[in-house]
Amino acid sequence: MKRLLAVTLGILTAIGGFVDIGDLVASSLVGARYGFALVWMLLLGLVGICVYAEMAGRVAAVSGRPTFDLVRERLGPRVGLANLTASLLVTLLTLAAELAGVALAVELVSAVPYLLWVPAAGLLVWLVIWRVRFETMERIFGLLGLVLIVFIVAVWRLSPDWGDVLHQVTAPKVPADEPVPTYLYYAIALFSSAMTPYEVFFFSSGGIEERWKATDLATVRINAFIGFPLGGLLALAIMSAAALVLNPAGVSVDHLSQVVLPTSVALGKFGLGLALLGVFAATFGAALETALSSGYTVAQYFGWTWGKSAAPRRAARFHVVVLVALLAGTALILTGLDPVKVTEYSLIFAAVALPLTYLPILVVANDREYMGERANGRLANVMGTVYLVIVLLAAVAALPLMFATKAGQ
Amino acid sequence: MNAWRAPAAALVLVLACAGCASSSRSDEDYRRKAAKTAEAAASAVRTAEIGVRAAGDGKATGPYLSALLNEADKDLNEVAGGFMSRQPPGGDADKVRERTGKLLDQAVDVLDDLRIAVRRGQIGRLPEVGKDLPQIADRLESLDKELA
Repeated sequence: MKRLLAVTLGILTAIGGFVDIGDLVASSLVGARYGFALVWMLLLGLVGICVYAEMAGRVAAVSGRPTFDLVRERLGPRVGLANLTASLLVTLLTLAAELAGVALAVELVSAVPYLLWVPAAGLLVWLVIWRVRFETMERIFGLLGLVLIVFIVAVWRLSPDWGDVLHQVTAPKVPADEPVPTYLYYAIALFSSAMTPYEVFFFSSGGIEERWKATDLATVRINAFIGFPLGGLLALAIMSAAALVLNPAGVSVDHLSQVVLPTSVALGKFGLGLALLGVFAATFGAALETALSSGYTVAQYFGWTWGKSAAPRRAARFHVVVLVALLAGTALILTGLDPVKVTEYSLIFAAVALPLTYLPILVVANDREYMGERANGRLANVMGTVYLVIVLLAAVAALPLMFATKAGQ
Repeated sequence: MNAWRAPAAALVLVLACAGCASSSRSDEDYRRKAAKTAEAAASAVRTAEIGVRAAGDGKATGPYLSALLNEADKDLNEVAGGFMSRQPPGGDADKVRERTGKLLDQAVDVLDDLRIAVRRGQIGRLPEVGKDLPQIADRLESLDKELA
């Protein structure tokens, strides 16, 4: 019974913890602009993150080694350093965007400008990392993020024509007035929002923090194959709500306030309140994950002692990196940069860094020296290779499309 | 160290250019930009319209509406300011400028009034203040279609 409860909690946490500012912005923006014409891309990204999260989690559980540790070993120190730089910059951009998301959610409740809340958000994230146990922290914000289910209820209340929705999903078309490059640009942003590198860094490092062993593989797989897809359902609901309310009105999403507008239309103040609570929890939880991921990647690359569970005196450099990352993220947003634009750029730059994250995982998951009989089977290798080709294509196309479309204008 | 400077400078330049607005060299180019402006303005006006409707139905809170309408107003002012600062290259562009400018002025006036009302806590007045929003949005969308 206790085991069942732990697994259930793990699934719920994975669902609630799946959505972050990238998913909120990309899903809503794409839903408002293209209706249901890019649902296929969200599903493609979702399968990809399930495949690689399972692989990274399995590697962590069996070999006891997290992703970035393997990146350095497999790619060598120089390529590893380039990878570290790219991943860290993307994670810092994402962290900045998450902190802005927390502050914006509070602004929408308090009417006090979000920039005033950003330092408080940064401080609170640091306090939680410093004082709260890893498992407690993960559970609280993961479970609170579950209130984003309000978007599913909103879609149901909006009573769409399901036949028409199904048709748009299964026979997607680029709208006549939209250039194909712009469609592809947003497709990559959406794909990247599902497959953001920090998710696997956090998933595998978190597994080490929670002392996963080979006997925990069932938990790893349940989280990856049930928790993540159900979390993706939330992203799909956010996209659908935007497709039903904002797309027919020709609204383009430039602000977080527009992301939650469909819940207000469909469910009134109560729905709006829950959506704002969900946005707060999702972005706060992701701010914790990205801040920790910054520490994980740097410490794992340099071979320092790392871990939230490690006493600060033992893992001083890890905790300093986390603190510096938080200060840098806070400072970036305080410059007045548009948080939604920061999110969009972080997704495109993340797309560029994707192959460097996923290639070493695929390589090590095949290494019988580390993995023994838990090495990749044929299905995992086929899926892993197919997705590696897809992320390579996305990585090559991301920047040219950004410039060609003037960042999706 | 020097090896990093050129790529870093190029990256900064390219990123800066990604969000730049170019000048209009012909009437045709100016028309396209006017269409884009009308489309972006219509988006801000429709956002405000949905928010005002939610306010009228008692479905949105004051602080939320304040942020939503403030952002819509800011977006509209930026779009309008950006367009009006462009030099119309010829006689046809002058006419486009006049039509688009008039419509943008109307939209800006209504969104300014809404922002002021919501800041004063007059949520109940929003539907009355914003009653012209649907009509303005329709006209902006028609202008966008005509010019595009």
